[in-house]
Amino acid sequence: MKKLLLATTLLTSCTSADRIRYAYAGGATLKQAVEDTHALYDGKLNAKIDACDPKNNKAVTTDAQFDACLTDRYDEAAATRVLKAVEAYNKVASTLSELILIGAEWPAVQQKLRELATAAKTLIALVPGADPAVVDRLLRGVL
Amino acid sequence: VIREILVPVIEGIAKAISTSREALAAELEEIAKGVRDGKLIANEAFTRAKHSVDRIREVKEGLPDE
Repeated sequence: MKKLLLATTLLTSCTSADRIRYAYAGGATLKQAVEDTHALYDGKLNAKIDACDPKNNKAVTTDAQFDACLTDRYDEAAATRVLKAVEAYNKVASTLSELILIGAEWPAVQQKLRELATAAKTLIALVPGADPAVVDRLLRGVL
Repeated sequence: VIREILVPVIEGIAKAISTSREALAAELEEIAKGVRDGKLIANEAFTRAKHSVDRIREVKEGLPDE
């Protein structure tokens, strides 16, 4: 009977541990995707800023010309939307971290992981050329 | 005879369970450490994004509207 109890306890703890692994692996995978996608965006954005900065581009002498040079994909509004999306993503990631640390119930953790996936998609959708569907492919088998 | 077979088997299972538990605990501790260290949070992306927005604003502030 003791052995049976021990085996049951181990099985239960393994199931719980597996879920923690899923949540952690899912979160880490999403973070990597977000970092990589944003690095691509940031590289292009900074190349645009360099090319449009009046220090390097004598044709740009006004604010309006600077905006026109950056284009609406990389202007201040677009860059701010990306910044806000990263902020929103990080907020959900912080909550997911807390849930994992306090050993919250799996449905709550799973829900937060889903919210993190949505936040990652929102961010990736703002990056020209990036495909938000990558998030579903990365999380297949986790959610 | 049954006891001679069963005892080592049970001892073996107990040992395996104990080892698995230790390995599991170590792995979970490692995961918890990663979570505490912010390994799920895209801090690098945030820092870069903020820097880029600040850079655009600096250039714009130095230019006349028209």
